Amino acid sequence: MKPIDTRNQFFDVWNVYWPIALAVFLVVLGAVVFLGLRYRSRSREIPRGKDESTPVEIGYALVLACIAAFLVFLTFSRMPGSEDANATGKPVDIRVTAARWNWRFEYPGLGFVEQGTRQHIPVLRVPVDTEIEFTGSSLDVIHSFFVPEERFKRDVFPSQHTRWEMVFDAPGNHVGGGECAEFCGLEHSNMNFDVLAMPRPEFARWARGAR
Amino acid sequence: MTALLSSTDHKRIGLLTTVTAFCFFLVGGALALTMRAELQKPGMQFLTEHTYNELFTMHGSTMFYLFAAPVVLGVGLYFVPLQIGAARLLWPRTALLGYWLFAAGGVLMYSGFLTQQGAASFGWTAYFPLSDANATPGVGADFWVLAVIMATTGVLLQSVSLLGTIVRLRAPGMTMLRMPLFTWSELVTVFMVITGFPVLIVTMALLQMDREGVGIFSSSPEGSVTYQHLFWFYGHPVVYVVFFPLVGVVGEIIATFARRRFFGFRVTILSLIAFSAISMAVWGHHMFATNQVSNRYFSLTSTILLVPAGIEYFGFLATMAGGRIRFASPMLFAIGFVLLFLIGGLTGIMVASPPLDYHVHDTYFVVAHFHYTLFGGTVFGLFAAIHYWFPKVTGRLLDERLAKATFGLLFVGALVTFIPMFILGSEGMTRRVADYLPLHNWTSLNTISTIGAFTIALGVLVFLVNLMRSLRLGERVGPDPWEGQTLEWATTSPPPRHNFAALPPVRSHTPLFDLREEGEDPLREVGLPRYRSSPSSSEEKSENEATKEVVG
Repeated sequence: MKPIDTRNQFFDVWNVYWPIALAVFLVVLGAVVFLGLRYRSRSREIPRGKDESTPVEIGYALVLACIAAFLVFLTFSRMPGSEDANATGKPVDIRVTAARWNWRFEYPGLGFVEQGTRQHIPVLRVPVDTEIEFTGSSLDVIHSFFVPEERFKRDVFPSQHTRWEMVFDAPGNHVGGGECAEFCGLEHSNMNFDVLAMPRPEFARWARGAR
Repeated sequence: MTALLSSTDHKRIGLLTTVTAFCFFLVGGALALTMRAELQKPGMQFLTEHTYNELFTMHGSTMFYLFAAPVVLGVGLYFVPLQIGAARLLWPRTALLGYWLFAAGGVLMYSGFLTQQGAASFGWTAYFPLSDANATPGVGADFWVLAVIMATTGVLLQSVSLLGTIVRLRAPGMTMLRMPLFTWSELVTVFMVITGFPVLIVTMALLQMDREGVGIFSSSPEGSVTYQHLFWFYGHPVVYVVFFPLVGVVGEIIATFARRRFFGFRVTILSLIAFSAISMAVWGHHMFATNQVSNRYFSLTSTILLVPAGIEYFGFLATMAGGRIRFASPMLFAIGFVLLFLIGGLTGIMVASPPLDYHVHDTYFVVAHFHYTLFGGTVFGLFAAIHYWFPKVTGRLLDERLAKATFGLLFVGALVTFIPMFILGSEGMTRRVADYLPLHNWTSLNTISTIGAFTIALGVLVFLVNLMRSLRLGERVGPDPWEGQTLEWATTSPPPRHNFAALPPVRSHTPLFDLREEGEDPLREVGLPRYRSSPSSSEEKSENEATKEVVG
């Protein structure tokens, strides 16, 4: 089974949803402006016209149902089970531990631990085009592991292990590119980490040094 | 004063609830302004992180528990009996007790600020275990839990009274399908309250037991997820509770100001019922990022909501088509509701898709989304209702020019404040943060948003001036200044203690409109004099200006 590219998954859906939303908004805005201008009147005469039309309403409801069906189909087709990432090689395991208000990233395969402290913002180092298997947990309250660049977040809970996979498809150094997305108390807004996505040879070199 | 506070008259209970809730809206708004001022640029300006956390917790809690939910019930308690031709409320003391619980709960919640550790600071959702005694100790948090129980029980009691009234006290001829749209929307709302609110009350009681050391949610590793299920089983219906009645108000306003019956009345009623039924099965969409709910199921149920919502929108537009439209202030606010709420609805369909929600959940995108439903929906709908019914409650008109200025400021403010938040959220700015890093370049968008927030504040200020002025100096009007369609306009303004001297025949959901259509004067029918039959010339003039505003 191929892993998921969360970023592609997001944009596949987003690129269809937002133009539809914008189009619907513009149609309604246009209709309100047009009807407002067309039917503005000071006349106190009561207009003639039908108050309901069952065929029109059923037809319209069917159109809406078709739109809903299309959106649901698109969404479902881009959910787990539809993996498409360009990932090769051995997956990398990373254990994420969140605690108020910092992060720890453990690489069991490498015997390396990146521990954030008050003085040190932790760095999540990952190879690109490789499946990363995360196991996340919290030591206190609920936190959420959020990497905006990859368009993905996953909550981590106390006394529970949450698993998820990600593939980073472009190298890059994202300072402040990781955040805690679930409000966790006093210093929630400072609970950041940096994301360093490295080409695979570079990651291998770093891993040898880390070991 | 004592008479006012202990009256069993539904109009007094309704007005008391509405005015009290509106005061909480002003306070909650002031908290929001403080936060927007702090967020205008990176770095902590004048707040500490702890204070910021208290502010957003109390802002959200105030707006839901103490403003939005009570206010829609307050308006309902005043106008539903009038719309169904009832002389009183069934179980008025239950409703009065509800008011007292809600008001006392509000005072209790705010008294948290006077305690040593301050008010609650775990967000309006109080997620467990952040809300346990370990992570958030302090009496202020205990007060918060108790206050939520009180305020929510208050709203529940008022709903029970309203439900009884609708079932038992309808006027002769007022069958269910002849009840006006607003009454229907309140009825459907009351069902959601009665289904969802008890769950929150029990959940809060369990949370407090856990805070006192009894292992409830803390007794199992899944407890924190269980809490979320229980909370959102209340928490999602409540967001429909706070805008449904306003869909009804807006529908009636559009119909009245287009001089037509609401188009597709029966289909709209059906869609309201379907909407509320499905609303009980969508709570899990708040929990996609936990990956511990059936994401596909909740995505499906949430997306399907676009069908009934779309039918309601069709009704709004089809009613305008072919009408004779007047753009007085209630109509402007109604159109503001239609457009702004649409932004909330369309982005709501987006967040119902898990692949999108994995990114935007808990970011400013979601903040923007629900402010278009709550500000664009609830607040605009409420302002429409206030401008529509103020003459009924007081016998005086609000000043039309100030009303239009309020509308302009609020409408522009709603766009300037919340549109930038969509971009900020897409770029990864999370919600509930007291500060953000300068390196993200979010300063200019945040500054724009803050300017928008102060524009809204100015609009609210203009409204308050209008309110104070018009209470004393507003133009006096008779029973029916707008040529309304429903029974509340067939009595004096304000209505007498038992509401009606006589009732016109009720043959549809628009009894007054029926008479007018037959060329009769509905007011003469019930023996009332007609003070004011056509709008004065000053109103005509400002109507032109308002149209420019809408079109421009």
